[in-house]
Amino acid sequence: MLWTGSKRCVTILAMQGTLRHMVSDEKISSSLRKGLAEFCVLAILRGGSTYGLDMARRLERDGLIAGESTLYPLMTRLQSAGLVESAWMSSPTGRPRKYYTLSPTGTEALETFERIWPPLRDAVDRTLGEETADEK
Amino acid sequence: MRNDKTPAAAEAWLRRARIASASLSRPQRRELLDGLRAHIADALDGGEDLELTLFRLGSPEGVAQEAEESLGGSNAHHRPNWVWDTPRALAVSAMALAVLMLALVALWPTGDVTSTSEGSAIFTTRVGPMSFVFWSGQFLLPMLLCIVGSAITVVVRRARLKWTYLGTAVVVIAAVAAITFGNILLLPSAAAAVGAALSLRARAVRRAHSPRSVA
Repeated sequence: MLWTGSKRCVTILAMQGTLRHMVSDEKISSSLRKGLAEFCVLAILRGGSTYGLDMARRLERDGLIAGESTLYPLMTRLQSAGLVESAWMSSPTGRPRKYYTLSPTGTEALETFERIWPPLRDAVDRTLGEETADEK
Repeated sequence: MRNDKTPAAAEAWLRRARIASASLSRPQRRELLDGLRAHIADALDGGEDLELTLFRLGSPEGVAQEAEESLGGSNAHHRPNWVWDTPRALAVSAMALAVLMLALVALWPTGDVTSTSEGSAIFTTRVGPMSFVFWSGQFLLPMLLCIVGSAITVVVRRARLKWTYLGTAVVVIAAVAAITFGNILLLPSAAAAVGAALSLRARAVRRAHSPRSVA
C-alpha cells in the first residue's frame, strides 16, 4: 500500500515537472529540504525553547537549510500555522531575546511526522535499492 | 521589537528587507523582521562581526523573496487583498485616463451652426454617446486604440514584461497618432503607460540582481 502511495507521489511529482527540472545536487537537496526542515525545527523545539540564531546555526551546520536567513520565513510560516509560539524573554546577558516554543499543535504535527517518516524513508530506500540491483 | 543598540548598517539592512517584503501581510512581515533583528542582535552579543553576520544572512531582497515564496502558497489567506504596486497603479491610471478622456469627449456638448433661410443662426447641440456617430475615425480610433493598449498592460501579470511593452507601445502609437490629428488628450495616458513599463523594468532588473536563495 505504501509502495503504491510512493509510486503515486513520484508520478505526481513527475507530472508537475519537478523531477524533470532536478538536475543538480543542490536542486534536489533544496527541494527535499523544503518539506523536511519544518519538522526538524519542531524536533529541535521539542528539546526546549530556543532562539533563532542557535536554531539557524544548527540547521545550517547539518545542511537542513540553505542559509541562516531561510529559517525566518520558515518560522513565520510555522507560527502562522500555530505550530510554534514565540515570546521575548530576558537572555543571560539581560537583553531581551526572542525564544521559540513548540505549541501543542506542533507537538501533534511532529508526532504524526514521526509516525509517517520511517516507513516512507524505508520505502524510498527499498525502491532505490531495487533500482540499483536491477541495474547490476 | 526594535533594539536601539542595533548598528546603523544593520538597520539599513533591515530597512531594505522591510521594503522588499512589502507583499507580505503586516503580521507576517513584523514576525519576519523581528526574527531577523533578534538574529543580528544575538550574533553581535556573541561577539560576531556585523559584516560577517550580514554576509551570512545574505541580501535582504533574497530573504524577502524567500519569504514571499515560502509564505505565499500556504498562507495565501493571510495576504492583504491589495498591495501597493507602482507598475500596476500606473497601468491602471493609463487606462483610467484614456477612458476618462473618451467619456469627457463623449459627454462634452458639441454642436453645429446652421443658418436658416431668414439668415438667423441655429446651434444644434449633441450630447452623449450618440455623438460618437458624428466623430471622425481620426479622433475616435486613437482613443479606442489607447484603451486597448492600456488594457493589455493592466490585464497581464507583472512577470509578462513583454506584454507590458506591447501594451505601452500601442498606447504611445495611439497618442502620437492623436497628436498628429491635433488631439493631445491621450498624452497623460501615454505618460502613465511609459511610467508603468519603466517601473516594471526597474523591478525586473532589481530582482535579477538579487539572489533567489541565500546559500
